[in-house]
Amino acid sequence: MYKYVLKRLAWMIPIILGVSVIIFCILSVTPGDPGTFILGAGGTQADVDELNRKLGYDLPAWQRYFKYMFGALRLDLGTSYMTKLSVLDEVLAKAPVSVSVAFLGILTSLVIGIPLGVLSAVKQYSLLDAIPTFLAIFLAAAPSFWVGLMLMVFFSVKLGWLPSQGITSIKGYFMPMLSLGLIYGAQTLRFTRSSMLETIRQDYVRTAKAKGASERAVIWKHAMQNALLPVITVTGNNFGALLGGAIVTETLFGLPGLGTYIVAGIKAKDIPVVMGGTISLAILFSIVMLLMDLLYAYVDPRIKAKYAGNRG
Amino acid sequence: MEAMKSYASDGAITMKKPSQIKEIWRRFRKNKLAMAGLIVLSVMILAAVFAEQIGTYQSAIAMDVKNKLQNPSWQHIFGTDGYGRDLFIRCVHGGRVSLFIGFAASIAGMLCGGILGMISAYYGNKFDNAVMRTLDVFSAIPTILLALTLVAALGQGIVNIIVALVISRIPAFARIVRASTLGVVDQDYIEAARAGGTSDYHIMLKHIIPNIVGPLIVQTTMNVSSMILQTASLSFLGLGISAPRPEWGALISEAKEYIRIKPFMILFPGLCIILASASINLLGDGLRDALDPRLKS
Repeated sequence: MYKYVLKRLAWMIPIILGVSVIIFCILSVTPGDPGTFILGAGGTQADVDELNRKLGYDLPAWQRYFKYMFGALRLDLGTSYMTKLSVLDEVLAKAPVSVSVAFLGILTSLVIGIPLGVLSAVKQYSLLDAIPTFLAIFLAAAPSFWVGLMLMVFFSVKLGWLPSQGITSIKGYFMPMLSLGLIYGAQTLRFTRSSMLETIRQDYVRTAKAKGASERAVIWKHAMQNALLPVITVTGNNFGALLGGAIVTETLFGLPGLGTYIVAGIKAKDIPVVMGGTISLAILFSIVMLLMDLLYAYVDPRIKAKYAGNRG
Repeated sequence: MEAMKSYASDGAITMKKPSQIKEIWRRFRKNKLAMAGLIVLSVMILAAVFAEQIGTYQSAIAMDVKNKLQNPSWQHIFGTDGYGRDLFIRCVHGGRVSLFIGFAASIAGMLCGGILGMISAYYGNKFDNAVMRTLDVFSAIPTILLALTLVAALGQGIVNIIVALVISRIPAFARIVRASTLGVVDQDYIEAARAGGTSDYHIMLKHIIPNIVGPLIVQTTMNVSSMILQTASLSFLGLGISAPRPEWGALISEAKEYIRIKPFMILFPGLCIILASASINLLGDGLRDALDPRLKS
């Protein structure tokens, strides 16, 4: 098991290098240079060149790449062209926001999705199945920012309960959490439902029923454990996707997370910001994926056995 | 050599036998939700194709400030936007862009990713390993972020957005096709074709593709809806379709300004997206069940 974890951690190095090369290549062919961008229309060509030279942008692309990556090795992710702030400091300040929004969103999706999914599977073809399934189809087809805007219309405009922007108070987390929770909850519901339907048809569930266990015990004790395995995989993937994929939600609610930071960087061609932000996201993503695999091995003894077998 | 050729074409299991299509259609028709999806989607596609007849593109972008921000009425069933443009006509023309990008990006993504995945699974070993590891790298970048940087590099435009979406989705498509190909590549009939001297190209075209095409059609269909959502997200983040051309996501972000006074402006384009992508998802579900009744839950 340790060997497996070490192998996975070592594998992160080529992944991060690859990510940095890809992003740097795309940024290099993006039109525009930081000097022109910062000075705007008012700057003369000489001013622009001077500023570009100061920023180190006059070097050829490959030299800038190596310079940046050697800096990154010493935990220096550069300074933003626009704000002159250290990218590492910014990332460290913003990552907790992104991670907590993603985490809260996933948690909400589980709280919404699993009970409703189990309910609609147990009461298949009844109204209690039809309504959640319909809602899930609806939400799975909705753009996340549209759901967020609808929540804003309801909670901020109509009721005036919640702030529509920012997280100056804890209340600000509620709508991002709920909009992500609804969207991913729709997916969790569908997975839980189909997995539960499959499980309750298994022989051991019938056996449990036959020996006289109550309906409730059969569902929650016997069927649940196995039905949830595929749900865990999906949740893990969703959590990984949400770290970066919550960009839209972060932008909508004006959250100071990694997503908004990187998007602003892309728009301003702020290379250190985009590079540092994306590399940090990729590291976070790899760690989350590793943790999810470990969690999966923990809950499914079959997988643990496989790792143990591979060790020799 | 001649005999070999006829073997290759006879031996292929073709999906396109009329009786089989009829059988699939018979199973598909029984699924009411999928049929509803097909009908709604067909109506939306027709509206997109004949958008010019419903209201000209000129009328969808021409400003008429006198009539701005009107509530829905018989004259403007979705109301008008901040420049007095009829929102219904803008939604119809927006559908043209959104649906086109959705279908084009999904089909192109499946072709590019599919060829890569199939070749990778077919040749296996080192080549497969190299391809899969490269895809791992791409997968560590969130799809929307990759698409966003690509659009920034290529510039905003329908074709560039399609290219960006395709590139950012290639890993997912390649993985799906690779998995399907691995399921058939060890089968005896492939071995037989190989022993008979059929070329690799021929084996892939005539023996592998027909056997994996079913699930791929389903995946491509399902992906149209995520492509539509992704396009909308790009527009929302300010790197999608640029004004004044309407696109469903862009219509929502334009309406955001008026959230306090005219929330219905956000509602309608959103419902267009939901209607289209829910129909596509239901259609995909129905196709999956009809193509392979064993998978039916």
